[in-house]
Amino acid sequence: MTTLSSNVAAVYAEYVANYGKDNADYLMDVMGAWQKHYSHVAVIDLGIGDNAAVEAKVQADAARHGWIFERVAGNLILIRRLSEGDWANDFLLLQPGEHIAINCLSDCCCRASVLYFWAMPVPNHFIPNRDSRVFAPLRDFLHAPPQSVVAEYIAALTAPGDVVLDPFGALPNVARAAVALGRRAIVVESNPLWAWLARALATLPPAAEIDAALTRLGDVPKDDVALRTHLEQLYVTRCAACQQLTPADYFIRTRAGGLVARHYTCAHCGVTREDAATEEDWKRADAIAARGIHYHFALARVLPENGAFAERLRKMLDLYTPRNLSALATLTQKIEARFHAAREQTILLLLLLHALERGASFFAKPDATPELMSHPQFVEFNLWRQIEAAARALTTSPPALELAESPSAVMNAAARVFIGRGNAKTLARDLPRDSVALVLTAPPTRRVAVWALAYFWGAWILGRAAVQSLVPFLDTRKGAAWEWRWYADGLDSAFKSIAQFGRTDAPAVLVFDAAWHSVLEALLLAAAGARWKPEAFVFQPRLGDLPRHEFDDVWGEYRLAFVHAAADRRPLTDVPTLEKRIRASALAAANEIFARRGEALAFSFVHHAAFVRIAREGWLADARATPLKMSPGRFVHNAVLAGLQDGYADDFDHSSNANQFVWFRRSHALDVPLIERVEAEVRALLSRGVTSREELQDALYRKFPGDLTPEAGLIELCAAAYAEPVTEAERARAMNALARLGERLGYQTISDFRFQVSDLSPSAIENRKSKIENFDVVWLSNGEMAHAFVWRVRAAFADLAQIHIAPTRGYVIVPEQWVALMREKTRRLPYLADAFYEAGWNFVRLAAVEKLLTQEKVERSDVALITGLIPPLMAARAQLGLL
Amino acid sequence: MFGVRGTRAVYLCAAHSPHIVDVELLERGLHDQPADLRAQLQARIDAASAEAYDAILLAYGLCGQATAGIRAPLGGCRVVVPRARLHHPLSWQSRALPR
Repeated sequence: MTTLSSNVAAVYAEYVANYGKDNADYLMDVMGAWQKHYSHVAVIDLGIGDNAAVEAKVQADAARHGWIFERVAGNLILIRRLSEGDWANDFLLLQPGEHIAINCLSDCCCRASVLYFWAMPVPNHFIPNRDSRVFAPLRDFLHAPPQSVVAEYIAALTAPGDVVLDPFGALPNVARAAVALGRRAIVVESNPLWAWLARALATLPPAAEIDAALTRLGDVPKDDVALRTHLEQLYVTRCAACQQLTPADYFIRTRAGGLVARHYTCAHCGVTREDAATEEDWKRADAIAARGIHYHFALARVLPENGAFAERLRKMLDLYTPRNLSALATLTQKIEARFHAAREQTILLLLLLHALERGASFFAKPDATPELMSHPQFVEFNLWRQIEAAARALTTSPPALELAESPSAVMNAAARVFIGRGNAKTLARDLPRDSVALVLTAPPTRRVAVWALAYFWGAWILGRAAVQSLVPFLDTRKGAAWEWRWYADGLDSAFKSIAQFGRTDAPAVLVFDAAWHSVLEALLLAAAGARWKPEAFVFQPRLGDLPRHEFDDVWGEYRLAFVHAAADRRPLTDVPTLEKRIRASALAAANEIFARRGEALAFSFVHHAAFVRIAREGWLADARATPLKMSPGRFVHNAVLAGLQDGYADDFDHSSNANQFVWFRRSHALDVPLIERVEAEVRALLSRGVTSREELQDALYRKFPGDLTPEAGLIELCAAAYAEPVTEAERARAMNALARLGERLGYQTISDFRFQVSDLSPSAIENRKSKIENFDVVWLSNGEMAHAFVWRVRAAFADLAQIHIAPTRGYVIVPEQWVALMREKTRRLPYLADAFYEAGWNFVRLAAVEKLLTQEKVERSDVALITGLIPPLMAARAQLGLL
Repeated sequence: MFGVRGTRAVYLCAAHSPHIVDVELLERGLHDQPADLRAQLQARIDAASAEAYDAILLAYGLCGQATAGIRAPLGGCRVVVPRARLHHPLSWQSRALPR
């Protein structure tokens, strides 16, 4: 045991070279101290070869250290079973993509008495956002992964005590989830305003302190009244009910400066109203000069010292009405002059930041999310009310975290979490290589306008010097090409640095939403440069979101997990071959996702499948390593599109109308349409008594993981269709209504009609293999079958497309609860819907039949009014309702 | 198959196995630094899984840190690890008891 192996000898030699012999001996002694912690030593005799020499050596060591010597008979059973493939029970089998996870009962792995090991794959199913909406200023501008989502990844991919790194942490979500699970977290953010915000939100004082700060702020005197009174008076309006003055909640204004409406709850008579703005409101709003002292105060705050980008900053100031700008200037002056205690100031600056967001003209409606665009009409909020609401919301924040002063304190296990300003490069000072168990984050926003706003707000709140690094984003001349290069280059260098901190086995998980295709391309390309390969990928758009044009984006939720990839082959750098491979790979990926989902898809699905596959196969890394005439991103993008175009020569097709463009394959090698599989699973779960939305989602997302993930809302749509089972009584009601209608139209009607060969029209005889033997109701005209109705137990239509029923008109009777599901099915299966209609089929809604029956006069041509999923009869009513 | 100690036992069983088993040894002493060992093990697994093996067998037990996080690469083959606790040869019944 004490023989120096070659490795130990090498270590010793290194110590001698570096520290001298004395020190080296001391170090080896200390490192050999483990020997002191043992009381016994044993030689395991396997019965192979001669152990005498080893045994003599061990006995000598035992005598020297005072250990009790033992000889133990071992056996080869385990090793034999391992090598012979008999792996039941005593072995852990890792399937490709799985890794070993540990959990232990005590605090730290090293001291654990019991260790649990299991094989844990990177989650490949969609993990939905279950966060209750926690208030945070600028929340809608920040990209942060939901806490409920990151918690699942942390639990699945790390052990207690491990370090989780969030390199783009604009909110403390990852930190909170990690700490709650007993992990350590390092959260850095390069944007100084976001970093300040994350730290401030993670360390909020208790509710009472927030409350007290708000009260003190409101009490500050301003022109002989309290500040809160002064601010509220800026927004007063005359109550239309009692004619008294009362502060409004908000006004609706136009871009041109007009006032449209006012919303208020009267402080005197208590009514809540929204009225048209009056001339008095106009006058009051105009009383505040557009370029008054508050305007110059604000401009001086945000204008860089060299006066650069003055025009851009003036434009940003124009996002605020004079009234709001005046309120913001007053608030800022009072906070800075009166409040110097750090904690109190932080609270008030958070509230001010919120007021800066709400004061800008980003809100088309009072409850809308802010949008960076010129709304023709926007909301001018009463900013004092906004501050009060924000303070109330802040008091419900989760308890404060205890933050380390530097990442190294977390590495030394002196603290559990660091949140602060920094980036991958600054982290290199504090973070050793291979120290992070999981990288978990949302990539930074690509929208330069948001970075420019961060400068503006940051300069206002933290001072110009603090946000100096954001000044370049004010430059509007740089253009879209520069933006993309900036984003791609930034990700590239960030990912390369971040990857070094991760252990070899550390996955990197990106959780984000609403991305352009090019953002995903930039992420995958940067990841390839960091030698990360996609291991799990989930894209989930909202149900019904479809692009207008062939290659347009659809936004959605993303879960993208990478693992470190060892270089397994020489890069392919021959440009024509590389292009050919990428084209083939893109086409194969598209074929696969069409086949697997079995239905028409928005281009985003196809695009993502292609890029993820190309990344997995290493072609992205190759493109980066190859000298090209264009950027690797552009090269791959072109090759992918060329590959997808190749699909048209194959069996790709599309369906388009005014608002949607979907792609599909006409091949017969497709799986059952996803919607049918989801529907069947939801029905099965409902019949087993599962009713909670969460349970349904969890089961379905696990059953249909990765590229099979259903769109947001599909599960709910299926559940709504089957929540109330269709009953026999409903069928009887439908039969009855149809029989009555048939009679009134002068048809001979037959219920529960059974086919006789002689009943069939010549074309129907050709289809004698017809699966339908029964119609529930038929209408005969001169002995010919004119209309035939089918009642079904499931919202299915596609199978009928194979049954050519024309010239008879066939109908599937649709109960109201199936209408939405049926419409979705015809949308996703456009080729089957076409075949269905061409074969002579259509839908009829029971509600439409019953409505037609209420009319005094009906004619045979009226049948057209009740057919289709939105029959003209119902559509007309819907439009009337809207009017 | 990767082994660290008890090479005789590993070679003996490999020779008797009905399967073709290639044995590869990693240098002793690596286990002093679990992170290094894991990194090295993982690198070897990644490399081996690119070849046409049915499975990769680790003659390491599931001890502390060294095998935690070991991954079977996607698109590669299975990895088999004994569930045993200590990282002495798999034949062990080590009685070296912590005090």
